[in-house]
Amino acid sequence: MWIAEHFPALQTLLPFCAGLICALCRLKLARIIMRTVTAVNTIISIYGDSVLNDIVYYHFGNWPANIGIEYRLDQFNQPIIIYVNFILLLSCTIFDNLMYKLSIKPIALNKQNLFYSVLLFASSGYIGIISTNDIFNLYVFIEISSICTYILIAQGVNKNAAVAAFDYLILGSIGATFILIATAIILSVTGSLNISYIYQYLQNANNKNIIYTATAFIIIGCMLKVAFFPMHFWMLRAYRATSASILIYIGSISSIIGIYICFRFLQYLIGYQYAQRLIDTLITPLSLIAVFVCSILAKYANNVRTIIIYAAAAQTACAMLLISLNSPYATSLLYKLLFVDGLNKCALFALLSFTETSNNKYKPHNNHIAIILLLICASALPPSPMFIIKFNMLRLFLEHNRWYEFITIIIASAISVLYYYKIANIIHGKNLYLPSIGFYILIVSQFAVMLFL
Amino acid sequence: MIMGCGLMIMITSDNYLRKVIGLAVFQSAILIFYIAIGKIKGGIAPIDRCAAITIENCNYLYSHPLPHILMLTAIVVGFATLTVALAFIYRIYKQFNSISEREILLQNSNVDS
Repeated sequence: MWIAEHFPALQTLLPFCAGLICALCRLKLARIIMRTVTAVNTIISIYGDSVLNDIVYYHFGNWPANIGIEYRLDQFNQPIIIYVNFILLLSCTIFDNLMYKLSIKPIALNKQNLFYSVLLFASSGYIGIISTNDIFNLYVFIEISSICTYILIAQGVNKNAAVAAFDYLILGSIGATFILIATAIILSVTGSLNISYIYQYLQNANNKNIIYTATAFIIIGCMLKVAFFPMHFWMLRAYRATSASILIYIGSISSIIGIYICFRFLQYLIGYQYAQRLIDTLITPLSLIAVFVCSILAKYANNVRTIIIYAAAAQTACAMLLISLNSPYATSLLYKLLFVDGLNKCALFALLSFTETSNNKYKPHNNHIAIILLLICASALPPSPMFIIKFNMLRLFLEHNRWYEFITIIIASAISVLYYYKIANIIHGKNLYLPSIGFYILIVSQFAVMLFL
Repeated sequence: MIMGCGLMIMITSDNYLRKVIGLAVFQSAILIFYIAIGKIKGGIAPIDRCAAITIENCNYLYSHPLPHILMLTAIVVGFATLTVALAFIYRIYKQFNSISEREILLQNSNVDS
């Protein structure tokens, strides 16, 4: 069946073409197109996951691997693509009202359809980043998704949104250009842009010093993109100034994709033997400091938004700690952590958007059960999936005799309960109308991730 | 060196337009780097000299065309980023009536206090 043959290209290019069409339609038609295309793309990616047996290599234009561009989909990639589509589907169906009030309404009437267009281009960019097996193609998709993210962050009523987006643009371009420098070095050494070929070549290579240089550039580029601790200032400013509804999409996807890029570079492109020294001397200490400092800053933050942003930075640092452990069990745990953490962030930012809109139309409805369940899941208290993941993480660190990581994660988890309790206190006094179906879907999908992955 | 200059302009400039120029300088450095790694000793530019005319011994050594192609893509991407950056600067100017980073931070801190 032709969908089974061509689904790698379809799931990347369908949002792209839909974005082009949305740019030409009015708002209502653009909304219908967006919902339809996102639903279709989710179905195609789920179908693709059921069809792929081990690894699927898709060659564009039937040009073989080293000459042409190739997409590589396996059991690790495809669920992330399903996740990206799922979050977009949630944002444009259940949380659509929020997005309209907070992000789209401030835009000029004749340009409101372009918002959906940019959102679809961003989605296409993110899916392309995950699918591709060619480094330069990866850089192009990183830039496509980044430009769309800059534009999305600049929307909203806050005056500082454009300033924050500009800062993010400068730092994001520096990060992407560092990745480009690393690509140049790798091209000069191996003569190829295909990730699988480069990995095979580098396993047997002699000229190691230049590969260390390339690794350093890649890691620093990824750190800038992921907003890892010393470079997290752009994320702080950008997420504070933008509208909360767009963070439902960007907050839950961009950091996960950044960690995915980092992980893919370290495991599938360069290999741990080149990166081990850099990991031991730079990434591990920075992650430890980041987890600790971000947790403490979250504890002393004043408003809900800042707490959630610092919590996100702390979770990113946890994920980087897992990357620095070189074991297959750590990989599968990282995988689950990315999904569960992303779903948590999506729900937390949705909660933030609800607290920031004033729903005078509806009767005050004290539906706090969804909020309490969400806060239990986010703070890694016992029945939640995050608790299982953190427990396994601690067990893993003990097995590898990593005492500093063990103690830091325990302290950070204890502090995280405190700041989520603070969020509960702040929200308690407000009468929120929450259509809680979105929250229940996100919480149930976390349990589904733990069961099925 | 060009890369270092571009980075310094981007990070230390007060005016937003100068930051964007720094970004352009930074990306030009990468362009030159790519073209340089594609150069082969004794090779000419990768444009087919013998396509239009028929000559007996048409042996030219060409430099590697791949970096040139990659850099065409990178130039287009850089141009798109520049466009978006200029659009942001225009929006910032309309809201704050200034494109100086120091003044905008001052205005924000006055508003906060």
